[in-house]
Amino acid sequence: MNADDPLHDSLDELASSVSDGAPIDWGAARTEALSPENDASFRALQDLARIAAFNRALQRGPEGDAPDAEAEAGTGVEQTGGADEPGRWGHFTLLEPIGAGAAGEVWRAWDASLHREVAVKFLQARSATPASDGASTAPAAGPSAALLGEARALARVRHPSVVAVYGIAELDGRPGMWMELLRGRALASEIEAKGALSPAETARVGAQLCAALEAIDQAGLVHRDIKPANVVLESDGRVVLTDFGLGWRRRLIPADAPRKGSGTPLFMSPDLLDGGPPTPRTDLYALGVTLRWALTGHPPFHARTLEELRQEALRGPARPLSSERPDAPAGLIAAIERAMSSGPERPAPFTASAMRALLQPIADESSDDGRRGTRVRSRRASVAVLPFLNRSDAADEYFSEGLADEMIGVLSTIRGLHVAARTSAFQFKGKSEDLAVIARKLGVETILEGSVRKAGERVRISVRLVRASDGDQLWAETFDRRLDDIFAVQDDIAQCVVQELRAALLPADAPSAPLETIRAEVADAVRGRGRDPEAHRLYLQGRFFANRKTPEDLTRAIGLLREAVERDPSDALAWAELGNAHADEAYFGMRTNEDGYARAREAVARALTLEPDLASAHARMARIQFVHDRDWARAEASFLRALDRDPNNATALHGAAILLQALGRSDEAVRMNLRAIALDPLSAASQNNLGCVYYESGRLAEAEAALRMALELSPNRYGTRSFLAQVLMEQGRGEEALEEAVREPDEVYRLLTLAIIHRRLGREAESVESIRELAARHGEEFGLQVAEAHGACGHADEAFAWLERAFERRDSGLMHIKPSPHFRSVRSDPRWGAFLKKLGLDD
Amino acid sequence: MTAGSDSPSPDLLITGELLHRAKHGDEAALNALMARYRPRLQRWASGRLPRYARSLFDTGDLVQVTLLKAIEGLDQIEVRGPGVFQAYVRQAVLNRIKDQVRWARRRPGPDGVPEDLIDVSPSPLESAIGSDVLRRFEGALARLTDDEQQLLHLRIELDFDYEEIAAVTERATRDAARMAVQRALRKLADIMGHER
Repeated sequence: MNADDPLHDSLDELASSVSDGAPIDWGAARTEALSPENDASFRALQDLARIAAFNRALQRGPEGDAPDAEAEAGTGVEQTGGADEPGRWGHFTLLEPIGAGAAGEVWRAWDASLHREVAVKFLQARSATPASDGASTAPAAGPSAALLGEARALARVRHPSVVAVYGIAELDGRPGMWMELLRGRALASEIEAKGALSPAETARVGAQLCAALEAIDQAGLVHRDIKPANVVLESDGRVVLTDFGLGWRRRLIPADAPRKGSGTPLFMSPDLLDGGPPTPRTDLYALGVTLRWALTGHPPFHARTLEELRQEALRGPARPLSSERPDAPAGLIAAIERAMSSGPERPAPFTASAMRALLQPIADESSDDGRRGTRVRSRRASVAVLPFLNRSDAADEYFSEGLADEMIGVLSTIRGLHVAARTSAFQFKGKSEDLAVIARKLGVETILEGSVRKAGERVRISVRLVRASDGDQLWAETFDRRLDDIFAVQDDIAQCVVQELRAALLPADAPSAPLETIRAEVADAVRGRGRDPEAHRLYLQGRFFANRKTPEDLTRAIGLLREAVERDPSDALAWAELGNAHADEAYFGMRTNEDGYARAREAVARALTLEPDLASAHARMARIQFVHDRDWARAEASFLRALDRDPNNATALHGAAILLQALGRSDEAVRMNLRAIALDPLSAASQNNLGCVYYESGRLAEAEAALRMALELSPNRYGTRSFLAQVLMEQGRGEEALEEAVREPDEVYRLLTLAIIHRRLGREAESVESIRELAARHGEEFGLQVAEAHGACGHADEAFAWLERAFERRDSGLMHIKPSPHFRSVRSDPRWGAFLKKLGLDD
Repeated sequence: MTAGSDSPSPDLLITGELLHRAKHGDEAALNALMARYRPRLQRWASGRLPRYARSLFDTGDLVQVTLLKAIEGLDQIEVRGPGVFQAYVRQAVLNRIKDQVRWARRRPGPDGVPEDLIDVSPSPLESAIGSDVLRRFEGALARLTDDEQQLLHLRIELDFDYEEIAAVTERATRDAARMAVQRALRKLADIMGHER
């Protein structure tokens, strides 16, 4: 400080240092000179120092355009000195620490020369100096020479699944490298937060990592530390291998040199644990362990010492992967097991490219995997329509919701477009969840959201289409129209969304559809809609109340829908909706089955007369044929016709899955359920149905996973916990089963399940008592469940007697008995075949 | 690396005379002004423009257009007193950035999507210091005099050295400029501290 400087207090001195850009020891400054009353100014000076340092970094960076990628790699290695200013490293401003590990700390930093954020990783000398690991052939020069060699080798790896290393240098006396800043989530965190990945997702991650390993191998490197913590899942679907802190060149390592610290023990092959050199094959082994962990949700070994680990690794995991994840395709199982094979009987050499050949087809084709159907798929034209915000009176809620609902209906019939189902998308109504999170949960790339304000005969609709991965707005528009113009507004919105999605998500070289084509598609999609705006308003209102599923709302809905069709008899959509409401009346016991379904059939038939290809009408008709007529063939044909016209029709998918399940066609039922879940990932009912199909097929691990997912989505769902308890019992986990059974919220299911579990645990008296209680309290209404309890406990006579009672009551649950495990013990009884024949369920 | 590589020759400093000459059509003066001032302003602005808005409008264009407009409207600046050109331009650039950000977001309108659904990815400076600190910084800066704002803008945002600042703000010596900057900085810290 200048001797003439008249500043006298410590804050003035600090201000002087900040202004001069001089180094400041803030810790010492605080303890030495600060009084409590100056604390706020002191902290403000700290902030100002950071602002000044940031701007200085901006100003002092080299001028001109950013160098190209090759130039970056070539010139990124530099060695400069400079002030040891806190928060700075050469021309980088260190913004915040984002990680630390054995190899050094990592910072998010601002690169003032190229005006971009990067990750700066400071290296400890030992990690970048092969000689310290005992490699006697390492260059004799110091760490800087080793760093330079390292940088040159790393710069040769240019691959989308390998974090891009921009440069490496010793700046301000600290060696470090700067690289691409990744913003995604580590695979380890993903598994910890959400459990095991689906087979499809595991294959997708594995295929990309194999490609990364190929690139690393071609550069003459090995990674040495592949593990879930070093794999980053970017929001755009890219899987990136990171953390090259331990990477080194093979040629630096003599074959006989002792090895220490060559990675994380759990991921080290027995060869490495024995002191062997890291090789592409040991990287592949680590990838195998990583993928196995991802697929099962837990590490494959549980050793407490290195020696135990070595032994376990030689033997391989205790439980075969195919039994832990029986839903995984054989190719995925084989890829992981071959990568992890390490015993003396090791098969033919296995490479990353061979592994990728096994994984890539699974990754490409299995986008419908349901267990983790909530994941964002890559580059797929997909959208979720969130309920539009109602900015009018609460009484107009039906209108904003109805418009969004209509939009789902229209978009879902557009070929090549994946549209999240209403039941899942509308769960976000009134919630301010992050769009990226919503998109992730719904498995879509884009979100359409909007708001509606009605005033008299005028309506203002604001909508915007957002790409979830980066929050970019693809399109936004505000429509000020009259209510009688509502059809045109809906069509405009649909056309714009289709056009934008195609432009944004299809490959750049794909031919863009002419506007006329899109108009024609949208016109085709809205077939069945009436012509009268007021009738349409009544239809929207009627559907809004019908969706509430209470008797009072249903009555109100039917009144409105009837008014709609009286006003505009050409409105096929309204007729179909009216038919469904009548079927619901029968379902809720508000009308007899005969009366309710007769009305339903008449209305739906009107809809199909008006519009023979109307998907929603075919789905409604299928319900009548399935539940009431028990005409399985016609019901299946109707479901398929609905799906042919509208592959995204969630109602048809759910219904078809249940029908296939009832017919005992388990494999098809699984596939249909998975399709339904892909569209409707937050539907607990679909996950529950999937769990039941798996249970009935004896695929218990998958059943458990699906049922737990259903409970995660809806913890108090009737019946689900009961099915889970039965699955656990089948797996021999009696105590767990009992715990789940007593937590079942529905008494009928609880007593049924307790009867089964007590019996299996040898507690005959408790079992009998549960059945007695079930029959006494609920036998009149739930005869089928009493039959199931007797069937599961081997009481054949009682089971058939109760089945007959259920048949007399036309219990709709009877359609599901064919594959039911509860009747396993009576299937050889001649009465069983006869009963199925009576139901039309015989083969 | 220091700011010395950008050191001006005295005739390129942003003096009132240079500004007047530029405004009245002296192309050499205009070029000198743009060459001298624009690169630094552009680098500073790049730290204030969020990434998503930057792609829509090059930072260089934004700064150049704003600077030219400021020179055209020089008469309006002068009424606020000499030597505050940069502070004026700073605010103009910030206003332009705000417009840019608004446009980039393309909000559907006042009745449109709620605020919390809009992309609010921060500018690099916000990333570095946090939006709360930046808000307090701007708020406190606005409470300083034009001269103090000018001094701090030149020093801690554009990294001018004290000799340049002395020339621009018509102070007699380097030390006088340094002292003035330090006083302004201390005052700014006190105001920021009290707004905490």
